Amino acid sequence: MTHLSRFDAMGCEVLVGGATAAELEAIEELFRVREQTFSRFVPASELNRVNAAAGEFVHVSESFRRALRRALELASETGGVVDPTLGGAIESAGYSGDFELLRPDDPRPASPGAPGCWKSISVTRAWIRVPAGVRLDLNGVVKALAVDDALELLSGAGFVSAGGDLATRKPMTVALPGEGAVQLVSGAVATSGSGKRRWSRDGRIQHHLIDSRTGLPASSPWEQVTACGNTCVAADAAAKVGFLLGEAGPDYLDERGIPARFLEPDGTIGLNAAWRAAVEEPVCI
Amino acid sequence: MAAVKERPSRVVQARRRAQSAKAALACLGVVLFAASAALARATSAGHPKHRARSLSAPKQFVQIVRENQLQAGALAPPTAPPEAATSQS
Repeated sequence: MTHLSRFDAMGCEVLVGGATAAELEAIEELFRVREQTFSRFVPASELNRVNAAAGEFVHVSESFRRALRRALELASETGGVVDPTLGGAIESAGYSGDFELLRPDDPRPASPGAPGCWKSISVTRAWIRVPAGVRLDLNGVVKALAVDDALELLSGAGFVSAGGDLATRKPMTVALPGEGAVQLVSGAVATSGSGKRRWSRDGRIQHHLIDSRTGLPASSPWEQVTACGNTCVAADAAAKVGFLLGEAGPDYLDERGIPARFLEPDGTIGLNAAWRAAVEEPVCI
Repeated sequence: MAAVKERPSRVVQARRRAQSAKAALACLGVVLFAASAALARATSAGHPKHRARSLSAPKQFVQIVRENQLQAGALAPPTAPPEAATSQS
Protein backbone atom coordinates (compact mmCIF):
# COMPACT_ATOMS: atom_id res chain seq x y z
CA MET A 1 0.00 0.00 0.00
CA THR A 2 1.36 3.41 -0.95
CA HIS A 3 2.30 5.67 1.94
CA LEU A 4 -0.06 8.67 1.97
CA SER A 5 0.62 12.20 3.17
CA ARG A 6 -1.81 15.08 3.40
CA PHE A 7 -1.60 18.85 3.76
CA ASP A 8 -3.78 21.82 2.98
CA ALA A 9 -2.93 24.28 0.20
CA MET A 10 -4.76 26.44 -2.35
CA GLY A 11 -7.99 26.09 -0.39
CA CYS A 12 -8.10 22.31 -0.67
CA GLU A 13 -6.55 19.13 0.62
CA VAL A 14 -3.44 17.87 -1.14
CA LEU A 15 -2.85 14.13 -1.05
CA VAL A 16 0.55 12.69 -1.98
CA GLY A 17 1.24 8.99 -2.39
CA GLY A 18 4.68 7.42 -2.54
CA ALA A 19 6.81 10.42 -1.58
CA THR A 20 9.94 10.35 0.58
CA ALA A 21 10.15 12.88 3.41
CA ALA A 22 12.36 15.16 1.33
CA GLU A 23 10.07 14.90 -1.69
CA LEU A 24 7.04 15.67 0.43
CA GLU A 25 8.78 18.74 1.84
CA ALA A 26 9.60 19.92 -1.70
CA ILE A 27 6.01 19.37 -2.81
CA GLU A 28 4.62 21.31 0.15
CA GLU A 29 7.01 24.16 -0.65
CA LEU A 30 5.97 24.08 -4.32
CA PHE A 31 2.27 24.43 -3.41
CA ARG A 32 3.03 27.13 -0.83
CA VAL A 33 5.00 29.22 -3.33
CA ARG A 34 2.41 28.81 -6.08
CA GLU A 35 -0.35 29.87 -3.70
CA GLN A 36 1.58 32.97 -2.67
CA THR A 37 2.20 33.80 -6.33
CA PHE A 38 -1.21 33.17 -7.87
CA SER A 39 -3.85 33.61 -5.17
CA ARG A 40 -6.47 36.31 -5.68
CA PHE A 41 -6.81 36.44 -1.91
CA VAL A 42 -3.17 37.08 -1.01
CA PRO A 43 -2.81 40.87 -1.30
CA ALA A 44 0.90 40.73 -2.17
CA SER A 45 0.57 37.96 -4.76
CA GLU A 46 2.11 38.43 -8.17
CA LEU A 47 -1.33 37.94 -9.70
CA ASN A 48 -2.72 40.88 -7.75
CA ARG A 49 0.31 42.99 -8.71
CA VAL A 50 -0.32 42.22 -12.39
CA ASN A 51 -4.04 42.92 -12.08
CA ALA A 52 -3.35 46.21 -10.29
CA ALA A 53 -1.12 47.30 -13.17
CA ALA A 54 -3.66 46.49 -15.90
CA GLY A 55 -3.05 48.66 -18.93
CA GLU A 56 0.74 48.67 -18.49
CA PHE A 57 3.53 46.23 -19.24
CA VAL A 58 4.62 44.44 -16.06
CA HIS A 59 7.72 42.34 -15.47
CA VAL A 60 6.72 38.85 -14.29
CA SER A 61 8.49 35.79 -12.96
CA GLU A 62 9.21 32.76 -15.13
CA SER A 63 6.66 30.79 -13.12
CA PHE A 64 3.94 33.38 -13.77
CA ARG A 65 4.72 33.65 -17.47
CA ARG A 66 4.66 29.84 -17.83
CA ALA A 67 1.26 29.54 -16.15
CA LEU A 68 -0.19 32.38 -18.20
CA ARG A 69 1.19 30.95 -21.43
CA ARG A 70 -0.35 27.57 -20.61
CA ALA A 71 -3.68 29.25 -19.85
CA LEU A 72 -3.55 31.17 -23.12
CA GLU A 73 -2.68 28.03 -25.08
CA LEU A 74 -5.68 26.28 -23.57
CA ALA A 75 -7.86 29.28 -24.38
CA SER A 76 -6.63 29.15 -27.97
CA GLU A 77 -7.17 25.41 -28.23
CA THR A 78 -10.69 25.55 -26.80
CA GLY A 79 -11.72 28.60 -28.79
CA GLY A 80 -11.89 30.67 -25.62
CA VAL A 81 -14.22 28.34 -23.71
CA VAL A 82 -11.67 28.37 -20.90
CA ASP A 83 -10.33 31.89 -20.54
CA PRO A 84 -7.86 33.34 -18.00
CA THR A 85 -9.34 36.85 -18.18
CA LEU A 86 -12.49 36.10 -16.20
CA GLY A 87 -11.20 37.25 -12.80
CA GLY A 88 -13.44 40.32 -12.94
CA ALA A 89 -16.48 38.24 -13.87
CA ILE A 90 -15.93 35.87 -10.93
CA GLU A 91 -15.69 38.83 -8.57
CA SER A 92 -18.81 40.36 -10.11
CA ALA A 93 -20.63 37.10 -9.39
CA GLY A 94 -19.66 37.59 -5.74
CA TYR A 95 -16.58 35.36 -5.35
CA SER A 96 -14.31 38.14 -4.15
CA GLY A 97 -12.86 36.60 -1.01
CA ASP A 98 -11.95 33.27 0.55
CA PHE A 99 -14.79 30.88 -0.26
CA GLU A 100 -15.21 29.95 3.42
CA LEU A 101 -15.93 33.61 4.20
CA LEU A 102 -18.58 34.08 1.49
CA ARG A 103 -22.19 34.54 2.61
CA PRO A 104 -24.10 31.65 1.04
CA ASP A 105 -27.27 33.75 0.68
CA ASP A 106 -26.15 37.32 0.10
CA PRO A 107 -29.23 39.54 -0.57
CA ARG A 108 -27.25 41.88 -2.83
CA PRO A 109 -27.67 41.18 -6.56
CA ALA A 110 -24.62 40.08 -8.56
CA SER A 111 -23.30 42.69 -10.94
CA PRO A 112 -22.87 41.71 -14.61
CA GLY A 113 -19.38 40.48 -15.45
CA ALA A 114 -17.31 41.23 -18.51
CA PRO A 115 -16.89 38.53 -21.20
CA GLY A 116 -13.49 36.92 -21.70
CA CYS A 117 -10.86 38.67 -23.80
CA TRP A 118 -7.83 36.38 -23.74
CA LYS A 119 -6.69 37.52 -27.19
CA SER A 120 -6.02 41.00 -25.86
CA ILE A 121 -3.22 39.88 -23.51
CA SER A 122 0.32 40.65 -24.63
CA VAL A 123 3.15 38.37 -23.51
CA THR A 124 6.80 38.93 -24.28
CA ARG A 125 9.89 37.18 -22.92
CA ALA A 126 9.44 38.50 -19.38
CA TRP A 127 6.77 41.17 -19.64
CA ILE A 128 3.02 40.94 -19.91
CA ARG A 129 0.29 43.45 -20.46
CA VAL A 130 -3.31 42.97 -19.44
CA PRO A 131 -5.75 45.53 -20.89
CA ALA A 132 -7.06 48.15 -18.51
CA GLY A 133 -10.09 46.91 -16.59
CA VAL A 134 -9.28 43.22 -17.15
CA ARG A 135 -8.45 40.93 -14.22
CA LEU A 136 -6.69 37.61 -14.61
CA ASP A 137 -7.71 34.47 -12.75
CA LEU A 138 -5.30 31.58 -13.23
CA ASN A 139 -6.61 29.45 -10.40
CA GLY A 140 -7.71 26.46 -12.46
CA VAL A 141 -4.50 26.16 -14.46
CA VAL A 142 -2.26 26.85 -11.47
CA LYS A 143 -3.64 24.10 -9.27
CA ALA A 144 -3.46 21.50 -12.03
CA LEU A 145 0.00 22.70 -13.04
CA ALA A 146 1.14 22.37 -9.43
CA VAL A 147 -0.10 18.77 -9.41
CA ASP A 148 1.83 18.01 -12.62
CA ASP A 149 4.98 19.70 -11.31
CA ALA A 150 4.68 17.97 -7.93
CA LEU A 151 4.45 14.60 -9.67
CA GLU A 152 7.78 15.38 -11.34
CA LEU A 153 9.33 15.70 -7.88
CA LEU A 154 8.55 12.08 -7.06
CA SER A 155 11.42 9.72 -7.75
CA GLY A 156 9.33 6.55 -7.70
CA ALA A 157 5.81 5.40 -8.42
CA GLY A 158 3.29 7.62 -6.73
CA PHE A 159 0.55 10.15 -7.25
CA VAL A 160 -0.46 13.69 -6.31
CA SER A 161 -4.00 14.93 -5.83
CA ALA A 162 -5.14 18.48 -5.05
CA GLY A 163 -8.80 18.90 -4.30
CA GLY A 164 -9.61 15.87 -6.43
CA ASP A 165 -7.43 16.79 -9.42
CA LEU A 166 -5.13 13.80 -9.55
CA ALA A 167 -2.06 12.76 -11.57
CA THR A 168 -0.29 9.45 -11.22
CA ARG A 169 2.85 7.56 -12.17
CA LYS A 170 1.33 4.16 -11.44
CA PRO A 171 -1.96 2.47 -12.19
CA MET A 172 -4.39 3.22 -9.37
CA THR A 173 -8.08 3.04 -8.65
CA VAL A 174 -9.85 6.36 -8.22
CA ALA A 175 -13.30 6.84 -6.71
CA LEU A 176 -15.66 8.89 -8.89
CA PRO A 177 -18.29 11.51 -8.01
CA GLY A 178 -21.65 10.03 -7.20
CA GLU A 179 -20.66 6.41 -7.19
CA GLY A 180 -18.24 3.98 -8.81
CA ALA A 181 -14.55 3.93 -9.49
CA VAL A 182 -12.13 3.68 -12.39
CA GLN A 183 -8.56 2.56 -12.82
CA LEU A 184 -6.33 5.43 -13.90
CA VAL A 185 -3.61 3.58 -15.79
CA SER A 186 -1.57 6.68 -16.60
CA GLY A 187 -1.99 10.42 -16.83
CA ALA A 188 -4.45 12.37 -14.76
CA VAL A 189 -8.09 12.74 -13.90
CA ALA A 190 -9.92 15.88 -12.82
CA THR A 191 -13.44 16.92 -11.94
CA SER A 192 -15.10 20.29 -12.40
CA GLY A 193 -18.57 21.37 -11.49
CA SER A 194 -20.90 23.79 -9.87
CA GLY A 195 -22.07 21.70 -6.93
CA LYS A 196 -19.50 22.70 -4.34
CA ARG A 197 -18.30 26.26 -4.87
CA ARG A 198 -21.72 27.85 -5.19
CA TRP A 199 -23.47 30.65 -3.41
CA SER A 200 -26.53 32.83 -3.83
CA ARG A 201 -26.89 36.51 -4.74
CA ASP A 202 -30.35 38.04 -4.50
CA GLY A 203 -31.81 34.53 -4.56
CA ARG A 204 -29.96 33.52 -7.74
CA ILE A 205 -27.45 30.68 -7.62
CA GLN A 206 -23.92 31.67 -8.56
CA HIS A 207 -20.81 29.51 -9.09
CA HIS A 208 -17.21 29.88 -10.18
CA LEU A 209 -17.39 28.39 -13.69
CA ILE A 210 -17.97 31.40 -15.89
CA ASP A 211 -19.30 31.40 -19.45
CA SER A 212 -16.66 33.43 -21.28
CA ARG A 213 -19.23 34.67 -23.82
CA THR A 214 -21.50 36.30 -21.25
CA GLY A 215 -19.26 36.82 -18.21
CA LEU A 216 -21.92 35.11 -16.08
CA PRO A 217 -21.88 31.77 -14.23
CA ALA A 218 -22.45 29.12 -16.90
CA SER A 219 -25.73 27.32 -17.22
CA SER A 220 -25.04 23.61 -17.71
CA PRO A 221 -27.09 20.42 -17.46
CA TRP A 222 -24.15 18.82 -15.63
CA GLU A 223 -23.34 19.14 -11.97
CA GLN A 224 -19.91 17.55 -12.19
CA VAL A 225 -17.80 16.54 -15.17
CA THR A 226 -14.83 14.20 -14.76
CA ALA A 227 -12.26 13.93 -17.55
CA CYS A 228 -9.02 12.08 -18.13
CA GLY A 229 -5.92 13.75 -19.62
CA ASN A 230 -2.28 13.00 -20.24
CA THR A 231 -1.53 15.71 -17.68
CA CYS A 232 -3.56 17.22 -14.87
CA VAL A 233 -3.70 20.53 -16.77
CA ALA A 234 -5.22 18.71 -19.75
CA ALA A 235 -7.68 16.77 -17.57
CA ASP A 236 -8.77 19.90 -15.68
CA ALA A 237 -9.25 21.89 -18.89
CA ALA A 238 -11.19 19.02 -20.48
CA ALA A 239 -13.47 18.72 -17.43
CA LYS A 240 -14.15 22.47 -17.45
CA VAL A 241 -14.84 22.49 -21.20
CA GLY A 242 -17.17 19.50 -20.78
CA PHE A 243 -19.11 21.43 -18.16
CA LEU A 244 -19.11 24.80 -19.92
CA LEU A 245 -20.21 23.43 -23.30
CA GLY A 246 -23.25 21.81 -21.71
CA GLU A 247 -25.03 19.36 -24.04
CA ALA A 248 -22.22 19.74 -26.59
CA GLY A 249 -19.57 18.70 -24.04
CA PRO A 250 -19.61 14.90 -24.58
CA ASP A 251 -19.24 15.14 -28.36
CA TYR A 252 -16.59 17.85 -28.15
CA LEU A 253 -14.45 15.65 -25.91
CA ASP A 254 -15.18 12.53 -27.96
CA GLU A 255 -13.89 14.28 -31.08
CA ARG A 256 -10.58 14.65 -29.24
CA GLY A 257 -10.59 11.12 -27.84
CA ILE A 258 -10.88 12.36 -24.26
CA PRO A 259 -12.81 10.11 -21.85
CA ALA A 260 -15.33 12.05 -19.79
CA ARG A 261 -18.11 11.29 -17.32
CA PHE A 262 -21.08 13.58 -16.74
CA LEU A 263 -23.00 13.64 -13.46
CA GLU A 264 -26.39 15.36 -13.56
CA PRO A 265 -27.96 17.06 -10.52
CA ASP A 266 -30.44 14.19 -10.08
CA GLY A 267 -27.58 11.67 -9.87
CA THR A 268 -27.85 10.37 -13.44
CA ILE A 269 -24.44 9.46 -14.82
CA GLY A 270 -23.57 9.81 -18.49
CA LEU A 271 -20.40 8.56 -20.19
CA ASN A 272 -19.05 9.73 -23.50
CA ALA A 273 -17.94 7.14 -26.07
CA ALA A 274 -14.24 7.48 -25.20
CA TRP A 275 -14.91 6.73 -21.51
CA ARG A 276 -17.12 3.76 -22.36
CA ALA A 277 -14.51 2.39 -24.75
CA ALA A 278 -11.80 2.66 -22.11
CA VAL A 279 -13.73 1.22 -19.20
CA GLU A 280 -16.05 -1.28 -20.79
CA GLU A 281 -13.77 -2.84 -23.39
CA PRO A 282 -10.62 -4.34 -21.85
CA VAL A 283 -7.57 -3.94 -24.05
CA CYS A 284 -5.62 -7.16 -24.83
CA ILE A 285 -1.88 -6.64 -25.06
CA MET B 1 29.96 100.12 -79.20
CA ALA B 2 30.11 96.55 -78.00
CA ALA B 3 30.41 95.92 -74.32
CA VAL B 4 33.60 94.37 -73.23
CA LYS B 5 32.99 91.19 -71.31
CA GLU B 6 35.11 91.17 -68.19
CA ARG B 7 36.83 87.90 -67.33
CA PRO B 8 36.55 86.88 -63.69
CA SER B 9 39.59 87.53 -61.75
CA ARG B 10 42.05 84.71 -61.12
CA VAL B 11 41.07 84.67 -57.46
CA VAL B 12 37.39 84.08 -58.28
CA GLN B 13 38.35 81.35 -60.75
CA ALA B 14 40.50 79.72 -58.11
CA ARG B 15 37.63 79.78 -55.56
CA ARG B 16 35.28 78.12 -58.06
CA ARG B 17 37.81 75.38 -58.78
CA ALA B 18 38.29 74.86 -55.04
CA GLN B 19 34.51 74.54 -54.47
CA SER B 20 34.17 72.05 -57.31
CA ALA B 21 37.04 70.03 -55.94
CA LYS B 22 35.47 70.00 -52.46
CA ALA B 23 32.11 68.84 -53.85
CA ALA B 24 33.82 66.14 -55.88
CA LEU B 25 35.74 64.97 -52.80
CA ALA B 26 32.54 64.85 -50.74
CA CYS B 27 30.77 62.79 -53.40
CA LEU B 28 33.73 60.48 -53.65
CA GLY B 29 33.67 60.04 -49.86
CA VAL B 30 29.99 59.11 -49.88
CA VAL B 31 30.49 56.66 -52.74
CA LEU B 32 33.51 55.07 -51.05
CA PHE B 33 31.63 54.78 -47.72
CA ALA B 34 28.62 53.15 -49.37
CA ALA B 35 30.83 50.77 -51.34
CA SER B 36 32.83 49.72 -48.28
CA ALA B 37 29.63 49.28 -46.22
CA ALA B 38 28.11 47.12 -48.95
CA LEU B 39 31.29 45.05 -49.21
CA ALA B 40 31.43 44.62 -45.43
CA ARG B 41 27.80 43.54 -45.34
CA ALA B 42 28.36 41.05 -48.13
CA THR B 43 31.58 39.52 -46.84
CA SER B 44 31.90 40.02 -43.07
CA ALA B 45 30.55 37.21 -40.86
CA GLY B 46 29.19 39.73 -38.37
CA HIS B 47 26.67 41.15 -40.83
CA PRO B 48 23.36 39.40 -41.64
CA LYS B 49 23.15 38.19 -45.24
CA HIS B 50 19.41 37.63 -45.12
CA ARG B 51 16.39 39.13 -43.47
CA ALA B 52 16.31 38.24 -39.74
CA ARG B 53 14.02 35.33 -38.87
CA SER B 54 12.44 34.48 -35.53
CA LEU B 55 14.11 31.71 -33.51
CA SER B 56 10.74 30.45 -32.29
CA ALA B 57 9.69 26.88 -32.99
CA PRO B 58 8.22 26.09 -36.43
CA LYS B 59 4.46 26.54 -36.68
CA GLN B 60 3.89 22.84 -37.32
CA PHE B 61 5.78 21.91 -34.14
CA VAL B 62 3.83 24.46 -32.09
CA GLN B 63 0.59 23.06 -33.48
CA ILE B 64 1.54 19.51 -32.47
CA VAL B 65 2.45 20.61 -28.94
CA ARG B 66 -0.83 22.47 -28.61
CA GLU B 67 -2.80 19.48 -29.78
CA ASN B 68 -1.01 17.36 -27.21
CA GLN B 69 -2.16 19.64 -24.43
CA LEU B 70 -5.63 18.18 -24.51
CA GLN B 71 -4.60 14.56 -24.99
CA ALA B 72 -6.23 11.84 -23.00
CA GLY B 73 -4.66 9.67 -20.35
CA ALA B 74 -5.48 5.98 -20.03
CA LEU B 75 -8.38 4.43 -18.12
CA ALA B 76 -9.38 0.85 -17.44
CA PRO B 77 -11.96 -0.99 -15.35
CA PRO B 78 -11.16 -0.82 -11.60
CA THR B 79 -9.22 -3.74 -10.16
CA ALA B 80 -8.75 -2.67 -6.54
CA PRO B 81 -10.39 -0.52 -3.88
CA PRO B 82 -9.94 3.23 -4.49
CA GLU B 83 -6.76 4.82 -3.12
CA ALA B 84 -8.02 8.35 -3.78
CA ALA B 85 -11.03 10.15 -5.16
CA THR B 86 -11.63 12.75 -7.80
CA SER B 87 -14.21 15.41 -7.08
CA GLN B 88 -14.77 19.07 -7.71
CA SER B 89 -12.78 21.29 -5.40
